[in-house]
Amino acid sequence: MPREFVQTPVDYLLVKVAARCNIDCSYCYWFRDKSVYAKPKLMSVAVRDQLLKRVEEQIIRYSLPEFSILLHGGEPMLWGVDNFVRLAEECRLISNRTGCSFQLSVTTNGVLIDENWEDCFERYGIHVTISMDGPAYIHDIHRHTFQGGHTHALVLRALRRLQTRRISLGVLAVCNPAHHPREFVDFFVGVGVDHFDIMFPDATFEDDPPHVAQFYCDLFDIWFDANREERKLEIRSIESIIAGLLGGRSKSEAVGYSPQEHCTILTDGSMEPLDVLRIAGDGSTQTSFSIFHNAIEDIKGEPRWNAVRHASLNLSDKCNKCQFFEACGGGYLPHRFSKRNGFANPSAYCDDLYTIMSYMQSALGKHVYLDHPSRNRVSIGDAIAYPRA
Amino acid sequence: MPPLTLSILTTLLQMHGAGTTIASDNKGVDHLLGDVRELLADHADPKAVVHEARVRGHGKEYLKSGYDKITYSRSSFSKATPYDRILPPYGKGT
Repeated sequence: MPREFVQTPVDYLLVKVAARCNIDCSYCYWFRDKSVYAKPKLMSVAVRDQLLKRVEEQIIRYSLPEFSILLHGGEPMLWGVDNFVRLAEECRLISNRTGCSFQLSVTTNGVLIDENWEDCFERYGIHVTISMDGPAYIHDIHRHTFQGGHTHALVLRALRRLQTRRISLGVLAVCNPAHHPREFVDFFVGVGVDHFDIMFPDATFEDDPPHVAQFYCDLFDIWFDANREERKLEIRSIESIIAGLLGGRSKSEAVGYSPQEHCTILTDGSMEPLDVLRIAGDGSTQTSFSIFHNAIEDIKGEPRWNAVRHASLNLSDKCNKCQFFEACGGGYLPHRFSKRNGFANPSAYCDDLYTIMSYMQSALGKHVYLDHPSRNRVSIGDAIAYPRA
Repeated sequence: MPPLTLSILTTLLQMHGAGTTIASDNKGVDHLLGDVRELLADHADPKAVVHEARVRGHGKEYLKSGYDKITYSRSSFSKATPYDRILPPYGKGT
């Protein structure tokens, strides 16, 4: 039985300011849906202005205290720094008028970053997420130019530059199970990055997803050892699973039972659900809604958006019977797709997720306990096995 | 240890008496238990209403620690900032 999640007004948008990219990553979900080529390459001024108008309308209508915008692509920096500055300035004006604070963020391949961009990010407090797959010999396997050239050196240079500025910075990598996670961690720590994520490669039942269980079990061991005496290494996917196993909340939409309620705005102003669902095939996220005809909150009446939300909360029979129902939540929704059943499947990574969570649960049981000032501490495992009379 | 839920934890804490807390000898795990401890406090408060990341209780609203829209999105990652601040309540239309 799906749990009731109270819907709150939309206060977060994933905004595609560019539908094209300047590099050619072989695992990219975005270009798996060829319909993106029918979209304008870049968001126009008219679309940008209409978007801001709709955002302010939403803020006023619901008295929102905060609004988050993730600038995305393709490669969002193709939109140009002047457009970023203009958007950030307009958000400031909206903030002054409404009292709503904005959280702006960008996810980028980092290739185009220069001093002008750094100034923009720092001046407007824009969070920057860099996509980087660890050391060069792993990163350059998939993340290359259209001519097949390497991109790691440029990305590393951008990372180092951003680290010298007052910019909130994060790093996202994609798992490559042919390599030990220690290779990722050692590299990131070596370049001064102590908080990052390593995501599952995007795959559905129509693909042949790699086995990633051992990678993440090893990654958990690395995280656990690093954080024994003090918290000094943050790996979001690991911490999200731990949180779920302990009764807490995942920090990632990729694991944990919760609704999928993303609203994506495309370069032409059309409104769609989660963009990664494009791995399900051409036109799989298409709707008839647009910011030129619809208010932002209207997305909740859009059938495809509702179907996505429904699918995220109504899991397969296998998931419903699983001990990791809450912690896993069926994994990441796009990974549940099959042509035969749509999203009515467990994750294509189900076996891996089960193995990973079993491993972590076993380890946590030895290190989580009930503590009372006047009694010896009791491990959670013992507390459950031998309840006090 | 089976996967924990707030109900299981609440029961265990009650059974072990007032003053019992949940903790870990691993500092990383113990940090993550901070959110669980907050949730347990909300769980015990009949007036607390959980709106996903927001908790309303005692006449105030809080955005839950370590949970914000940007970090939650798989497509983005930024270090979560402390979020235990008091927010104005949602106005009309919610």
